[in-house]
Amino acid sequence: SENLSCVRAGYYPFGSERAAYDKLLGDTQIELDRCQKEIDRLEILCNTLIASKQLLQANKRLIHSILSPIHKLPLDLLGNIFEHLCYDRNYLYGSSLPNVPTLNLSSVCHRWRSLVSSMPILWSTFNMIEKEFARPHNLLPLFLGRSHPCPIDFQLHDRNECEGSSRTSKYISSLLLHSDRWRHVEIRSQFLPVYLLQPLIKNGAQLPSLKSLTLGMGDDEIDDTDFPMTCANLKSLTVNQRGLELQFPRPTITRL
Amino acid sequence: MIVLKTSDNETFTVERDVAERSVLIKNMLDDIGENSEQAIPLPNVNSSVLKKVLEYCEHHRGEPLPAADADTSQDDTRKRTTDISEWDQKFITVDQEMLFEIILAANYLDIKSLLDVGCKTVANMIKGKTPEEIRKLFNIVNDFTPEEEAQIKKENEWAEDR
Repeated sequence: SENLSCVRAGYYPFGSERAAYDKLLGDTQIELDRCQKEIDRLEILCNTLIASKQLLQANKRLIHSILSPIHKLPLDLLGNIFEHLCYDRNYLYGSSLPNVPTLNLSSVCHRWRSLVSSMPILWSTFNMIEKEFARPHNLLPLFLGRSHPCPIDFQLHDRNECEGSSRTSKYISSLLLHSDRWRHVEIRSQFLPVYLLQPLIKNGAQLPSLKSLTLGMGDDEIDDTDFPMTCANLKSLTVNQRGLELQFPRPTITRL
Repeated sequence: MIVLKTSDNETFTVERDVAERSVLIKNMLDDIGENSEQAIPLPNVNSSVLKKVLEYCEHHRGEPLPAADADTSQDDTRKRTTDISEWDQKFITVDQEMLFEIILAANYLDIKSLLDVGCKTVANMIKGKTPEEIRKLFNIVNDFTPEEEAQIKKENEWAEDR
């Protein structure tokens, strides 16, 4: 405060007073350097302590995780829970929010990921609702690949207004490669016969795993259609908006 | 009446039809015969868990037991739901420690319907959650290697790219 008063008063020292101020300045600088050294030391100490704290926190989380009661469950029971979660809830395309529980489960931890990867059944059920502005797809090949050799259950709803949706064609092309694994299938499209039935009929495809088939079509006037394919296990056939010629024998169907 | 002995050496005296909700106990009883007064040891179940399990068995006594191969058909997965009856929901509203103990006990004692209730409850807890939320819920750490992280990131980009 004495120095402040001098500054405010416009005081300037001369002679011995000047020398005294020079010494005072030197001493202050020494003191400042000492403080800075101490701050540096404390900063290093603080950083070391922060690093130790982070390490301890990570370790605590690990120990907590080890003690988590869910880890008591053997893999078969965990898999049972996962089956409940993944059945009928994998919306690969079309929903406004990502809703792919199989992927969510496999993104939790290493153990869960290994389990999900080892269970084809968790990848064998999926729904696709195609909208006009949906972006290109990548998940279908992943699910088709990882579900092998399980039978697959899927719903494909093509809501496009115009014929020839290239994405729907892609989906169907991918799905046709696995038609031997189709089990419970629901396809709704304005232009279904062109997309779906023709390639199958042309190639003389058999659908040995197919148990239920729902075909929902547009209401345009198109001739009655037939479904001349061998489906040895087909039990339920639902065809909306279309007459179906039933000349092809269907001895296994119990629900039409 | 049947006497059950838990891992912490407590004994529970229960009616036979209640105890026989457990296929394990039913088979044991079939093996040791009708008139045995021997306590049935249950070394994998402690008394607090057995108390809960017996509460469930008592409530569901008399209901038909599921067939042994009821869930082996792959086709049955189509009928899977996570619906739980109101009583069962109330019954299974317990802390995580107890929930997983009940699941383990149901599995050990072979009580399929209780195992189902437990598994569905956990499924319902997980339903709709992100991986991070699931980790938080169960105190699971993210232990992925950088390679696994990269693969997951790629898959999730696919999921978002639509």
